[in-house]
Amino acid sequence: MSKKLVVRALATLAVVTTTAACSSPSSGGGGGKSTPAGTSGTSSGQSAAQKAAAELGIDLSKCPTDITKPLSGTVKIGGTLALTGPVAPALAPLLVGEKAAVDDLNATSGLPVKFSLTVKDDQFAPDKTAVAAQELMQSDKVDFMSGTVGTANVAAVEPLAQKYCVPLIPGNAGGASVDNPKKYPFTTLWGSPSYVDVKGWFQYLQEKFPNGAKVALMTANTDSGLNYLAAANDLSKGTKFQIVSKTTLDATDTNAPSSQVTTMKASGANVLLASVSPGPQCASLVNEVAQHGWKPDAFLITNSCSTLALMKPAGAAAQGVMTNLWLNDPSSASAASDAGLQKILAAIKKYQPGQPINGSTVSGYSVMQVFFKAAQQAAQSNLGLSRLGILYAAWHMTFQTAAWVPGLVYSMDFPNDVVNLEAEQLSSFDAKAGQWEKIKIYDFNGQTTGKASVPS
Amino acid sequence: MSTPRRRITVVEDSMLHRGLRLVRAAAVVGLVYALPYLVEPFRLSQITGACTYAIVIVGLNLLSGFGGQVSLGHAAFFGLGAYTTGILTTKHGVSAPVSFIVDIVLAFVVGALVALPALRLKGIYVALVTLAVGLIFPALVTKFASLTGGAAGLFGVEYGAPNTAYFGGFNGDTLWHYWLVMIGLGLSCLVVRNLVRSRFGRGVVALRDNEAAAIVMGVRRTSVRAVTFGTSAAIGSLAGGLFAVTNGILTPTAFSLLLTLYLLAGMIIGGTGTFWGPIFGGFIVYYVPVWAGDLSSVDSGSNLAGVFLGAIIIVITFVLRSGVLGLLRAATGLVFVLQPRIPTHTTRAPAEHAGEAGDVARRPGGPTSTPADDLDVPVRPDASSRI
Amino acid sequence: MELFLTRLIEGTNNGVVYGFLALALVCTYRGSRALNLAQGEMAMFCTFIAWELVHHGFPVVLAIVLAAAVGALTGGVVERTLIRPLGRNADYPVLLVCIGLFLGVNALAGVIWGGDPKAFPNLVPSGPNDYVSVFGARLHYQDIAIAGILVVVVTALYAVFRYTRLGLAMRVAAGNPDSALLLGVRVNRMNSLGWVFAGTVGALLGPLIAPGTLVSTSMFFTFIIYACAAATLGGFDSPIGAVIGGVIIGIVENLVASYVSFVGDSLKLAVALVILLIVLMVRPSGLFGTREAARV
Repeated sequence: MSKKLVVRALATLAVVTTTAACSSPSSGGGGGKSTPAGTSGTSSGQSAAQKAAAELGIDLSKCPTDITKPLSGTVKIGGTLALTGPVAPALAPLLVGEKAAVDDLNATSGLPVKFSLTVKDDQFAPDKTAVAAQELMQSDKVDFMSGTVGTANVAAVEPLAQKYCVPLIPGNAGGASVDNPKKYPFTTLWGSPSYVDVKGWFQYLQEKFPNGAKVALMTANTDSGLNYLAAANDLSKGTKFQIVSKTTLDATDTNAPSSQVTTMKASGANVLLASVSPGPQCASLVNEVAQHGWKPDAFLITNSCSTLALMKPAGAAAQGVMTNLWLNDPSSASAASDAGLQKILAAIKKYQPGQPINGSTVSGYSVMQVFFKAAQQAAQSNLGLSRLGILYAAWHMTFQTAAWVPGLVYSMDFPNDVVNLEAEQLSSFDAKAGQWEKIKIYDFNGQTTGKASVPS
Repeated sequence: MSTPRRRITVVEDSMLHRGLRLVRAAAVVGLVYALPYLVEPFRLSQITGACTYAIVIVGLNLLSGFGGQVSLGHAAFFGLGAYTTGILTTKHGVSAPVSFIVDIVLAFVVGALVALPALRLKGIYVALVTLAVGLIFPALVTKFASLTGGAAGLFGVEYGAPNTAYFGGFNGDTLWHYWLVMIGLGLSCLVVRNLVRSRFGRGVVALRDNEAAAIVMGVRRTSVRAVTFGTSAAIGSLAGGLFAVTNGILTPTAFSLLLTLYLLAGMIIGGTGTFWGPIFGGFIVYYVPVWAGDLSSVDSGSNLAGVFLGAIIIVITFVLRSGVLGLLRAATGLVFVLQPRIPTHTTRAPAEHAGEAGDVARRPGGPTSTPADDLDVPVRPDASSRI
Repeated sequence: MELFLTRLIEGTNNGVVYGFLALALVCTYRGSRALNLAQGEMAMFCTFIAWELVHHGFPVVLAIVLAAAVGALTGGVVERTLIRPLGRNADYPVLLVCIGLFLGVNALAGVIWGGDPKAFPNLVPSGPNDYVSVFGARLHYQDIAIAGILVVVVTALYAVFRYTRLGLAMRVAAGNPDSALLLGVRVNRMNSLGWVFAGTVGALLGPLIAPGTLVSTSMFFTFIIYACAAATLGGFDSPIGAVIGGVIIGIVENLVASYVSFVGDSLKLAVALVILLIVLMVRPSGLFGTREAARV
């Protein structure tokens, strides 16, 4: 055995000496450094690109490929999604929507290039997301990433997007920690941030209870729930709203939250704010509140629970529960007369026939809409249809989509406004009709940068 | 098997045997060194991930395969190491290698403590103790959010590559992580191998096979079990620390019961109670979901991949009873025959134990353990005079 | 006082559920000395089947009965095809098969029924006003119904195990299969029976808790852990022990979580796990289990 040890030591020594001598395998794949040579057409285009990069805080010389080069042929977009694992069934409709959107918008957006979407499985684990993103960037050589779901997962992709200069347009997460354009300008986000949801709540509360109220807060033990907790703490500071009871709920807890409701009811609160994980816990909580005979003056639930499919099971108990809607639900009563939404649904049915359609499908569609809109805007700008052009457009874009509730607008203007959606449609649940009744729109455009994103 | 096949007879510990083992060792080292030149960097990251799991399974195998104690909570030790490294490096400015040492020591102590309630228990009860420990861990992580980042996760754990030419390129970090994990794997395997081949190791196996007899023969159950548990936990914890620096992001959901189940599956599929089995197990645990996911991306919106995974595990249980390693042994058994070294003072004729190395003999009354061809444990299916 | 009673009732309600699932675990253990980690997932699958039946217009009670029958059948089939061929003393392979079942059944349910949670109708009126008032605290009819059904089931099982020849045969078959064979006991059939009982009990439980938890692929994730703790506390081979263990755990967990602020909501599971550990250290056979003595 000692002989083996000696041999092993010799082998290790050999390895060490040869590493000093031989070429390093670590330089492959990146392609070395490239200069932003004048390959992007006119001379004014080059300085525009440099200006744009400087504005976004990008060092073009560190990019392994030239991101100012115009795109041609079929441009690859990569995505990571949980295709296997416990959360996969809930996220599957997103992929249906995204794929349909790519096919539909390729045909209708009038762009000179076509886009293709390749999605890899990440099992909702950030470490697997990172590897899948690496595979997409190194092997599939995607020019863009899109649609990564989950705050921790987006956080895993951000540094890679930065390193390979592959824009993530957009990431699908509501956590403030990943909206960090100063550090990671290559990552934009899509969707309603948790902070904005809570801001909408407190706006309503201030209107309804000018003399303040006692608030009970329930949050999920997830990163989203922690965001809600932080936002509630921040927004209630210095106001007449006192948070008298804080309870939490595990995302995997399948028990009805009976003891939490008992605690909150016993605290004497007359307002209930709740952020639970989207899923059975939404209706479960609403049910429990009713079963305890508790009728708070205001019951506001997270907009993740706003899908009708998640609220309907609560039945009559959900009467009067309020939420901030932002996604246009295809099963809502107003959907039938919403021409824009119907067009989207038709496109999904055309390109992904036979797949069930729900709110997540539509939201998947709208994720890709952001990308294509940015591409269209880039094509008309002086940056052209290049990686940098599309990224710049995404950060300076305003548009309306039929996938969102009418009146809500995607609006970003780097660096002052880096939160994509800052408006909400306050709604109340009508249990008899099984529908959300719209009340009013709160628009905080430009006000939440630094709160719903990392403060710069 | 009446017609004897023409096979090469290798006498145990002869020059030929040693030579073959040397070749094998050199081939492994060569492969490890050559891989970065052969595959793309993301594949290297995947291999790094698979080998990180392999390290945990090496530790788990020590406890369950050689020690015979089912552990349904090993993900907790993995997580303990990951979070310890994460917290020390991000919040207290400790360097990564020092944090690895802290991981090992801390986990050893915790593991030894966990062994105590499990001492007098058997069968499913041991499993339950470890299950409880394994489940408490994510709950504690979530609870002490100010320390661990809680459900939101811990970000920014890293261990940068040293400033040398070899690690200097664009993918230097990936390469560095690969080497870190490979060294960790090599060390763990070495530790386990030496432990099992020592007198201590014989005690471990003896306790597994017949506890009462072992105690009567003088094996100290408490210390042996505690040290086994501790070492197994320490190895798992080292893997956790490596996981933390190679991934940078830690969330409590990554260390759930699901991970433990995958690790167990990996250990059993690779080959329980063997030395190379855990490495196969690590690759299987890492890659089967990846392949299932690739399958699934073709057909959108379906979770068939998860069904495949479950089905594959069940099928493998029936088809590969002794794991992948058993299959390999059977394959090499077609070519080589390992003949044990005959003690010179007996008068027995050197009988040919047909297919000793290839026999996938399953010992009745215990988890599968095939005598490794370089393992000096005196447990042979047809041992007659030896105890 | 009212608050304390409410908490007590909540804990008991939870405990009844834990005990119910623990009962299924006990049946499997009595059948073939195995810990079936996939019990919850199998129960979940049968609950989806019940939902499907209700969705197609079957009356609730009939749907539940049919689902229980499916559960019984599934239990028997699983034992016959997956567990029995592994032979005796096959701890690891059995564990592995259970793991595979856990993952596969969970995924299969997701494929067939999708990710949206589904509502399930109640057996008894369960509106906000359908409760019995106990000194100011509320005891809902649905919870009384579940507890009642559990009492019936456990009594029946206890009676079978203790007072019938079948029960005796099962006990012998699990404890000493060789002697049992010599005595003419059909050991294989007894093993199967344990799994059949377990499947039935699990399939009964699902539709009963579904109105509160909704039918979803994750509905039994945490319950199986509590069930393990309950079965350990009560004794893995005692049906009555399992139920009592479950109720104790439910009550203690809720009271500790409510009155000890350190524990709060996030360490609730930890309470059950700590109880599990204490039981294993002090008296592994549980409150009502038979102490096992091994001949050396």
